Amino acid sequence: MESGNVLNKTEDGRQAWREDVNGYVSTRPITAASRFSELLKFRALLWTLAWRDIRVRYKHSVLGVAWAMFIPVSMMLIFSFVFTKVVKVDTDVPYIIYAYSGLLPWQFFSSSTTAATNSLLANRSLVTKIYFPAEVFPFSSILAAFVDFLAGSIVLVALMAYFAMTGSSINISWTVSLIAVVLFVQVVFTAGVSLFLSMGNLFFRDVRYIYSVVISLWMFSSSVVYPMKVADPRIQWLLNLNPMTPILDAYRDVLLKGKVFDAASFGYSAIVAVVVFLCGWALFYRLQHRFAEKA
Amino acid sequence: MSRPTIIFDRVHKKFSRGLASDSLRDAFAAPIRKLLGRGEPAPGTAGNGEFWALNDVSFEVQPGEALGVIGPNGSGKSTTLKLLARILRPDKGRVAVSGRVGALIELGAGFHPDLTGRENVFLNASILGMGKEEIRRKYDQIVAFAELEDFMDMPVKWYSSGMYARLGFAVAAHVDPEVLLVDEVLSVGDFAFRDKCIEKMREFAKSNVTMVVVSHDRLMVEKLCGKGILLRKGKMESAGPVREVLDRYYTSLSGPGGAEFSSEASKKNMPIQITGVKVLDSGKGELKSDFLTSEGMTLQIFYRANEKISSPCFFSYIVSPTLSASYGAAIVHGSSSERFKLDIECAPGDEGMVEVRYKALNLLGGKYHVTVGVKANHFSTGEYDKVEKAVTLTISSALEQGGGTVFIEHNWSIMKKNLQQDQRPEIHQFQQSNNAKITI
Repeated sequence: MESGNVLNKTEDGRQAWREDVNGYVSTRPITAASRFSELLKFRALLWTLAWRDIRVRYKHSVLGVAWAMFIPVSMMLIFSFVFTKVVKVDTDVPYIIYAYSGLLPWQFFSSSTTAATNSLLANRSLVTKIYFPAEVFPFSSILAAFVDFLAGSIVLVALMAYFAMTGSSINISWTVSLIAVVLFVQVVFTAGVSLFLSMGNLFFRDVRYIYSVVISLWMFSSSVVYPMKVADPRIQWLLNLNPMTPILDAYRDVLLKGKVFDAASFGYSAIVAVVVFLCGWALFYRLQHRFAEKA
Repeated sequence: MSRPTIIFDRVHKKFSRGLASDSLRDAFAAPIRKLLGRGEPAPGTAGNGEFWALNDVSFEVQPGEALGVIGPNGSGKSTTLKLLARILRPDKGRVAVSGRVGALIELGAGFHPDLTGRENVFLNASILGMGKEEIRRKYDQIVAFAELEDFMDMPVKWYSSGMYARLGFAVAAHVDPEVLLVDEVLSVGDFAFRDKCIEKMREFAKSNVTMVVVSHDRLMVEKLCGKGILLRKGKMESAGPVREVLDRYYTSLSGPGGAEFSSEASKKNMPIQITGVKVLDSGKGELKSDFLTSEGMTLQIFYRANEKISSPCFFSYIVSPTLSASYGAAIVHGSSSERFKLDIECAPGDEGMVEVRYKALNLLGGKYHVTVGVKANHFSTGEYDKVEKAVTLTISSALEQGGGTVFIEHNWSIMKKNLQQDQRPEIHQFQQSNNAKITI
């Protein structure tokens, strides 16, 4: 093949072909560095899209961002009723804060990934018309859900303050600052899962429906509203594979129990998160040029 | 010559018809089918349900040049733009573009209906690659260009489609692209705004922006582009100066053409049918299809009657493919036998010929078609028989070079202002000759 010569034949050294992110050759391999610099260039778009999602979501509702607190609080009340009045579940912190500290990060995870699943299809007019790093769509879904997470955290802080003052069995210490690490791992994992789901849904429209079932099953296989130790010992090995459980447990360890998270299980989650994210991202780049055909 | 801004090098792009593997069921079915021996074709060939949207297309665009991509629907024009905008990747060959690419591909793509005009400007501009600061700096310009100052705090779902397109164009036009891709975008919006957009694009052209324009609007392509390529079914049919390419395209659109048409097919269900059309030199009476603007033409229409009819109305009109492409069937000259009180009485089986004499064609250079027909009377809407584009004329003009379709004989003259007399000066006088009758 001598198709490479077209670019070279007018080459005169002085006017080298511009190799920056703007100059583009369709068959040039994509390097992680060039993609990353491109993504950096579009970071304003990430914020704008997230802000658009938030704005559209709450524009016509009377309660506005208060809905972000209402959903985990109401779920907390439901599960508190079920697991303290109907079925008794043993937790080492008061159940109400156990449930809320699980539901809040879970809600963040599930609403991010659910929104991300449809994000490429929902923005198909853009995906098929204009070029830019398309992962801003799943990522902005996460960012938008993070705002809800922050709003919901106000309730968590209030609950923690209440239980700390009433002298219940929660222990707040310096480990609270480790929340940043836990949150980071969760965001990386969420981003990886979101990349896979958004692509998957573009190529196979079934993914969205399947995931809505999967996410419920996933919730009850994670330590969201009850600890995993209540499960049948014979399936413990299977439940241990779930990277979400160590993340949720880590939230409770650093926030409510004043201890550092379990290095082994949380480390496992962190590795899974990074691997899922990198694989998802690499695949996303490999397939991006086919999005316009599929959307 | 400097290095080209756009290189399209032996580009192939394959698409599959239908919705291949949009659901998991198809995805699982495909490998099974493959196992059963009904596999997919080898890569590089277009197999079942696949077609080449672009097949071996190569061109280059130099900095500051504007290229018009012309062709019928489905010829690969939009695919070309999408490859340039790197939304798609070629299956074979390569595409290279240098510089910041701006796309006027779908105006207002990404506008969110619930957000206000202001919010959408920021959203859309950052989608097109502008930073926050840059948008803030250009915001007033954008709004002023769109002429929507009073509507910026209104959700765009209440905008009219024209307003929507205006805001979309205004944002896209302020991205300061080095390479601008223009798809059929100006079909909405009023003429004033359309002209403003074309003016803006010409400004781009002057400031050395490289452009690729896809449009069915001949006037726009002609105004903006110097070079053109003609695509048909994914293949490049011709390339060259845009006028030549456009002429080739519009000529190929017209029917068989020529100075003569004849049809021996019997149409018994028609009361009267047209069996032939001839274009003749008005002097010597020879068949002719190339005329000068000043020349006269004789048109002969042959008919056969199948029923008894009295005074049918024959008509003929000359159509310009250039005009009809953008404004529908533009009739340049109409005529009908009824106005001349021709006394035609037909018995079944009668054959005859009616003749129309055009003193001077008065048409400017280009291709024209003559459509002839016959109907019950001048006012009836349906016709007995009609031959679309029965013959094709090629007019060459030495008189006017400024464009346009019709030549109107006129004189320019000057009268100097006489300072002694208190009279309003006549600066120039427009005189229409008596024998130039234009019926439209």
